[in-house]
Amino acid sequence: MKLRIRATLLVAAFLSLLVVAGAPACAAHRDTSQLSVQGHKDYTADQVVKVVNDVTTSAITASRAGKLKDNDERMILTINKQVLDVIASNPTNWKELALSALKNARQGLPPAQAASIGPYLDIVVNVLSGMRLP
Amino acid sequence: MNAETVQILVNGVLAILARHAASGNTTPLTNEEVHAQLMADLQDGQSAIAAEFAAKGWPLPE
Repeated sequence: MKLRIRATLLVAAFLSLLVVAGAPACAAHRDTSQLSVQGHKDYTADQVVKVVNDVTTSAITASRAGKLKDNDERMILTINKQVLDVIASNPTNWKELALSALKNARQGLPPAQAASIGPYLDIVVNVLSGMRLP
Repeated sequence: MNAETVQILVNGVLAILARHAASGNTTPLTNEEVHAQLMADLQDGQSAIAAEFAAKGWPLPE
Protein backbone atom coordinates (compact mmCIF):
# COMPACT_ATOMS: atom_id res chain seq x y z
CA MET A 1 0.00 0.00 0.00
CA LYS A 2 2.79 2.39 0.92
CA LEU A 3 4.54 1.43 -2.29
CA ARG A 4 1.44 2.28 -4.31
CA ILE A 5 1.11 5.69 -2.64
CA ARG A 6 4.80 6.35 -3.22
CA ALA A 7 4.46 5.39 -6.89
CA THR A 8 1.44 7.65 -7.23
CA LEU A 9 3.35 10.54 -5.69
CA LEU A 10 6.26 9.94 -8.05
CA VAL A 11 3.92 10.01 -11.04
CA ALA A 12 2.29 13.15 -9.64
CA ALA A 13 5.67 14.82 -9.34
CA PHE A 14 6.46 13.82 -12.91
CA LEU A 15 3.14 15.19 -14.11
CA SER A 16 3.76 18.45 -12.29
CA LEU A 17 7.10 18.86 -14.01
CA LEU A 18 5.57 17.92 -17.35
CA VAL A 19 2.75 20.41 -17.07
CA VAL A 20 4.85 23.24 -15.66
CA ALA A 21 7.43 22.67 -18.37
CA GLY A 22 4.80 22.17 -21.03
CA ALA A 23 2.68 25.23 -20.29
CA PRO A 24 5.33 27.80 -21.29
CA ALA A 25 6.02 25.73 -24.40
CA CYS A 26 2.34 25.94 -25.28
CA ALA A 27 2.34 29.66 -24.56
CA ALA A 28 5.30 30.13 -26.89
CA HIS A 29 3.52 28.28 -29.70
CA ARG A 30 1.30 31.23 -30.64
CA ASP A 31 2.52 34.79 -30.95
CA THR A 32 1.28 36.59 -27.85
CA SER A 33 3.20 39.81 -28.50
CA GLN A 34 0.08 41.77 -29.38
CA LEU A 35 -1.81 40.90 -26.21
CA SER A 36 -2.51 43.48 -23.53
CA VAL A 37 -1.72 42.76 -19.87
CA GLN A 38 -5.27 41.50 -19.40
CA GLY A 39 -4.96 39.51 -22.61
CA HIS A 40 -1.92 37.74 -21.17
CA LYS A 41 -3.82 37.03 -17.97
CA ASP A 42 -6.72 35.59 -19.96
CA TYR A 43 -4.33 33.48 -22.02
CA THR A 44 -2.62 32.11 -18.91
CA ALA A 45 -5.98 31.47 -17.24
CA ASP A 46 -7.08 29.53 -20.31
CA GLN A 47 -4.04 27.25 -20.05
CA VAL A 48 -5.09 26.41 -16.49
CA VAL A 49 -8.73 25.92 -17.54
CA LYS A 50 -7.69 23.51 -20.30
CA VAL A 51 -5.69 21.42 -17.83
CA VAL A 52 -8.56 21.45 -15.32
CA ASN A 53 -11.01 20.39 -18.04
CA ASP A 54 -8.76 17.55 -19.15
CA VAL A 55 -8.48 16.34 -15.57
CA THR A 56 -12.27 16.55 -15.27
CA THR A 57 -12.66 14.42 -18.38
CA SER A 58 -10.05 11.98 -17.10
CA ALA A 59 -11.76 11.66 -13.71
CA ILE A 60 -15.15 11.02 -15.35
CA THR A 61 -13.57 8.45 -17.66
CA ALA A 62 -11.82 6.73 -14.77
CA SER A 63 -15.05 6.65 -12.76
CA ARG A 64 -17.02 5.13 -15.64
CA ALA A 65 -14.30 2.52 -16.04
CA GLY A 66 -14.67 1.65 -12.36
CA LYS A 67 -11.15 2.84 -11.60
CA LEU A 68 -12.08 5.83 -9.44
CA LYS A 69 -14.40 5.79 -6.45
CA ASP A 70 -17.51 7.97 -6.63
CA ASN A 71 -16.42 9.95 -3.59
CA ASP A 72 -13.02 10.67 -5.13
CA GLU A 73 -14.54 11.64 -8.47
CA ARG A 74 -17.02 13.90 -6.71
CA MET A 75 -14.25 15.60 -4.74
CA ILE A 76 -12.10 16.16 -7.86
CA LEU A 77 -15.04 17.63 -9.78
CA THR A 78 -16.08 19.79 -6.82
CA ILE A 79 -12.58 21.23 -6.55
CA ASN A 80 -12.34 21.70 -10.32
CA LYS A 81 -15.64 23.58 -10.25
CA GLN A 82 -14.27 25.85 -7.51
CA VAL A 83 -11.20 26.62 -9.62
CA LEU A 84 -13.30 27.34 -12.73
CA ASP A 85 -15.70 29.53 -10.74
CA VAL A 86 -12.82 31.50 -9.24
CA ILE A 87 -11.26 32.10 -12.66
CA ALA A 88 -14.63 33.10 -14.16
CA SER A 89 -15.36 35.56 -11.37
CA ASN A 90 -11.92 37.08 -10.88
CA PRO A 91 -10.28 37.92 -14.22
CA THR A 92 -7.42 39.89 -12.66
CA ASN A 93 -6.46 38.06 -9.46
CA TRP A 94 -7.70 34.54 -10.14
CA LYS A 95 -4.33 32.88 -9.50
CA GLU A 96 -4.01 33.80 -5.83
CA LEU A 97 -7.66 33.01 -5.12
CA ALA A 98 -7.55 29.67 -6.94
CA LEU A 99 -4.37 28.67 -5.12
CA SER A 100 -5.93 29.61 -1.80
CA ALA A 101 -9.08 27.58 -2.58
CA LEU A 102 -6.99 24.57 -3.57
CA LYS A 103 -4.79 24.72 -0.48
CA ASN A 104 -7.85 25.00 1.76
CA ALA A 105 -9.43 22.04 -0.01
CA ARG A 106 -6.20 20.05 0.43
CA GLN A 107 -6.05 20.77 4.17
CA GLY A 108 -9.72 19.90 4.63
CA LEU A 109 -9.52 16.43 3.12
CA PRO A 110 -10.14 13.45 5.41
CA PRO A 111 -7.08 11.19 5.68
CA ALA A 112 -8.41 8.53 3.32
CA GLN A 113 -9.07 11.05 0.57
CA ALA A 114 -5.85 12.92 1.26
CA ALA A 115 -4.04 9.78 0.13
CA SER A 116 -6.04 9.36 -3.08
CA ILE A 117 -6.86 12.96 -4.03
CA GLY A 118 -3.82 14.67 -2.54
CA PRO A 119 -1.47 13.91 -5.46
CA TYR A 120 -4.05 15.31 -7.89
CA LEU A 121 -4.38 18.50 -5.88
CA ASP A 122 -0.62 18.83 -5.75
CA ILE A 123 -0.51 18.67 -9.55
CA VAL A 124 -2.99 21.50 -9.96
CA VAL A 125 -1.28 23.55 -7.23
CA ASN A 126 2.07 23.10 -9.01
CA VAL A 127 0.54 24.04 -12.36
CA LEU A 128 -0.91 27.20 -10.86
CA SER A 129 2.26 28.06 -8.96
CA GLY A 130 4.32 27.68 -12.13
CA MET A 131 2.15 30.09 -14.14
CA ARG A 132 3.73 33.51 -14.64
CA LEU A 133 1.30 36.38 -14.85
CA PRO A 134 2.14 39.83 -16.24
CA MET B 1 -5.83 5.96 -7.01
CA ASN B 2 -4.24 2.99 -8.75
CA ALA B 3 -1.74 2.87 -11.62
CA GLU B 4 -4.47 2.63 -14.27
CA THR B 5 -6.19 5.74 -12.91
CA VAL B 6 -2.92 7.62 -12.87
CA GLN B 7 -2.34 6.53 -16.47
CA ILE B 8 -5.74 7.92 -17.46
CA LEU B 9 -4.87 11.23 -15.79
CA VAL B 10 -1.49 11.25 -17.54
CA ASN B 11 -3.25 10.72 -20.86
CA GLY B 12 -5.52 13.64 -20.10
CA VAL B 13 -2.61 15.99 -19.47
CA LEU B 14 -0.76 14.73 -22.53
CA ALA B 15 -3.87 15.37 -24.63
CA ILE B 16 -3.70 19.11 -24.05
CA LEU B 17 -0.03 19.25 -25.00
CA ALA B 18 -0.70 17.26 -28.18
CA ARG B 19 -3.64 19.49 -29.06
CA HIS B 20 -1.48 22.60 -28.82
CA ALA B 21 1.35 21.04 -30.79
CA ALA B 22 -1.05 20.01 -33.56
CA SER B 23 -2.71 23.40 -34.03
CA GLY B 24 0.10 24.89 -36.13
CA ASN B 25 -1.47 28.36 -36.17
CA THR B 26 1.15 31.12 -36.17
CA THR B 27 -1.23 34.07 -36.51
CA PRO B 28 -0.70 36.51 -33.61
CA LEU B 29 -3.32 36.10 -30.91
CA THR B 30 -5.71 38.95 -30.25
CA ASN B 31 -7.21 39.94 -26.90
CA GLU B 32 -10.69 39.20 -28.21
CA GLU B 33 -9.70 35.75 -29.45
CA VAL B 34 -8.04 34.86 -26.16
CA HIS B 35 -10.97 36.11 -24.10
CA ALA B 36 -13.51 34.26 -26.24
CA GLN B 37 -11.49 31.04 -25.95
CA LEU B 38 -11.24 31.41 -22.18
CA MET B 39 -14.99 31.92 -21.85
CA ALA B 40 -15.69 28.95 -24.13
CA ASP B 41 -13.35 26.66 -22.19
CA LEU B 42 -14.80 27.81 -18.86
CA GLN B 43 -18.29 27.07 -20.18
CA ASP B 44 -17.22 23.65 -21.46
CA GLY B 45 -15.69 22.72 -18.11
CA GLN B 46 -18.60 23.94 -16.03
CA SER B 47 -21.10 22.20 -18.30
CA ALA B 48 -19.20 18.90 -18.14
CA ILE B 49 -19.10 19.04 -14.34
CA ALA B 50 -22.78 19.97 -14.09
CA ALA B 51 -23.73 17.14 -16.45
CA GLU B 52 -21.77 14.57 -14.43
CA PHE B 53 -23.30 15.74 -11.14
CA ALA B 54 -26.76 15.49 -12.72
CA ALA B 55 -26.00 12.03 -14.11
CA LYS B 56 -24.89 10.82 -10.68
CA GLY B 57 -27.81 12.50 -8.90
CA TRP B 58 -25.51 14.69 -6.80
CA PRO B 59 -26.50 18.25 -5.93
CA LEU B 60 -24.25 20.72 -7.71
CA PRO B 61 -22.02 22.48 -5.16
CA GLU B 62 -22.35 26.25 -4.84
